[in-house]
Amino acid sequence: MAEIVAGVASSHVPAIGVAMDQGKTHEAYWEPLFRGFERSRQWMAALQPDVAIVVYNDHATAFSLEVIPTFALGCAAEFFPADEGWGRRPVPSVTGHPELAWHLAQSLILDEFDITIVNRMEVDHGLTVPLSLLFGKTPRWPCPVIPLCVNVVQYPPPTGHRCFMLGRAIRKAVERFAADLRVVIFGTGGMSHQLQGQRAGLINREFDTRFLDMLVDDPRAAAAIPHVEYLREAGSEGIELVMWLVMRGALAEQVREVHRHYHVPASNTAVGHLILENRANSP
Amino acid sequence: MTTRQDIRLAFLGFGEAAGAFVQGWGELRPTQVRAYDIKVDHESAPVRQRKWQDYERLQVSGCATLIQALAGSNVVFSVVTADQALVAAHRAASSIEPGTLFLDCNSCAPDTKRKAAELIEGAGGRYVDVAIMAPVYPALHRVPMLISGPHTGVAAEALAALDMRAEIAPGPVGAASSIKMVRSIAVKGLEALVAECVLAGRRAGVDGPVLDSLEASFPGFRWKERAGYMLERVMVHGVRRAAEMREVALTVEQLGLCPSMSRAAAQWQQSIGELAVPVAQADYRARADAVLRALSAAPEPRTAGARDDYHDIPGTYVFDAEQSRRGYPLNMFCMSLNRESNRAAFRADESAYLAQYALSDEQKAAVLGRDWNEMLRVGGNIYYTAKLAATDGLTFQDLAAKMTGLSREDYRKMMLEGGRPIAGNRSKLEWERG
Repeated sequence: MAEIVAGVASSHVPAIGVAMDQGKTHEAYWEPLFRGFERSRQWMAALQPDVAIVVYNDHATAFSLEVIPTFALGCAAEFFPADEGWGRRPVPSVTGHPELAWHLAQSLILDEFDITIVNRMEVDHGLTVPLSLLFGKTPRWPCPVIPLCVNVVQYPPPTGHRCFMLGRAIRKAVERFAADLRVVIFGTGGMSHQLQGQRAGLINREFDTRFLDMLVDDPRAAAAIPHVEYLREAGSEGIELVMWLVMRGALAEQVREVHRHYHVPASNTAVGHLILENRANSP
Repeated sequence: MTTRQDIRLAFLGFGEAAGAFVQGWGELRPTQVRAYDIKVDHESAPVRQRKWQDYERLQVSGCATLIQALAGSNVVFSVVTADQALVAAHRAASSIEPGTLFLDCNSCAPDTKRKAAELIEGAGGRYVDVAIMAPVYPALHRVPMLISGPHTGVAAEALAALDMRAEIAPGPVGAASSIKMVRSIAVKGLEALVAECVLAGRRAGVDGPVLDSLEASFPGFRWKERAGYMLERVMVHGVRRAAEMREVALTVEQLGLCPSMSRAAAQWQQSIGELAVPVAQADYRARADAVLRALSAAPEPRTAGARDDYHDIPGTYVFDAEQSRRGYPLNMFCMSLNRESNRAAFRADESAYLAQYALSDEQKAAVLGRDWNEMLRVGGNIYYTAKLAATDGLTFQDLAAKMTGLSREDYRKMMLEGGRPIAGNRSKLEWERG
């Protein structure tokens, strides 16, 4: 039986990818940010997951306004990094896990989550930046990856509660997969940030701290946060945090916080990061 | 168009108002009365059937398409819901016959009416801003109306020929609807206020003494009787009234004021209207109790909240349905810049490249002038406009600096110092107060 062994939350700021690609991680601006991920990489190297499910959002890359799926699951064998306007990131292409991905799609649909199945898509910084942060600079990603895109660009995104319930359904589906796979799930995006308009640059450390606490110990309270509160308190792009709830929903009711890191700023954004493991015997 | 016989009439939207007009005219109606209502395209078969039955019952020529309704018509009443008014004008503009009087009777913000007028006039129609100033029952077609805009002369003649009671509100398109909108703050706001008061009163078991004491303070208002009537209005027409109140809120906002009351009224109107509780008994208590029962049975308040609960966040453009529809060509142009060959072609001749996309003039101007906030206002989404920034060699941070009016260095410094604080940046009101 497959199982979800841990969850990772991480921001996916494009500038982080640029800093890594251009070898700037030791510059004074970036050093404190990357220091917080050193332990995470050691942890990940020790965990050696068989598959990573990465919950992220596409930023006008694979999907435009022509088609806007609320939840889209990448079932392909390979996903290429995209040119998002600044040229392609020099990172390896992403190997998929079609067997598990198709199994997830089927289980989720029968569990009443109407997933869009995607057989061809390029992936953007939303997916590759968290991989870089957790796996470092590498000629090959160490495990296959299943991309799960959540629409958070076109308002309204799915509610936090819906995302949390999707996470629970993912856990159930993974546990029904015959092969013995150890799966890690990433929830990406956030934390507080606003990229647009005259209010750009908004950061709300209090909100972020409360959200991190709630996500660990009281995820149902976090799942009840209404959209308008994200927009107002965490900035218009802070609403990406609903994707962290998919990750949290896929973990046990009670989790252990292995690691936390919070840093302002990366470009326009407050960077948040958590590593969570299921507590033994927690349902 | 001085006599009834000259008038070839079409209704866009065939709900309460259209039905009341036709009923009021009775035998004295024009020979041609056509109707098109979007409910004939509704996904639910019973809803479609009921609309066709409405046509039949009132003996109007129901049309399956808007084009059929408009063909050969010279007077058009647009009586849809407030949120559909601009859509109706847009659709009508593509098939309206030149010279047709387009009587826009919808309860919309003056700005919305002006936009609709541009569409209709651009297509050769004659647009009239009409505001219906009282409930259509029991006055029917003789309900008082205000009309404004450049065609009030001919509109007044046509309406007089139809035995309707129109008064001219001097001024351009928007003058009549301003009066209506500002009046609605009180009319629909009072309904919501009374609904909240009565529902709370019933829950607390104090509605009797409360309404008696209100009667003592405002004698002659007949609070209990009115409470019943107002509840009925909200229960039956709440959703439509909420759409109107959102237009009212827009009007208030455009006047530089914070429309807190109108927004709250829209929320009550919407949530009670959505319950679709049948109105059986006349007594206010029975009506209130029916609403309360339905409210407790209703699912959790939707976390998405009311549709316009984010409009008071300052300096922020939420990419909602309206923005997405408006911004489609602009964003799809930006999307094309994901390819280097397209970026090169755009750089070589920006105007020629833009001509491939159906951008509005204001969208084009915003792109060519690199007015980044304006792009968002006219429907751009930041992840799309960022591709234009990328084409110009800007980073996300450079772009953010430009939108906030700070220099690159000052913006970077602000971020290094912890970013823009949330305190003082939660609402437009906070910004206005400085």
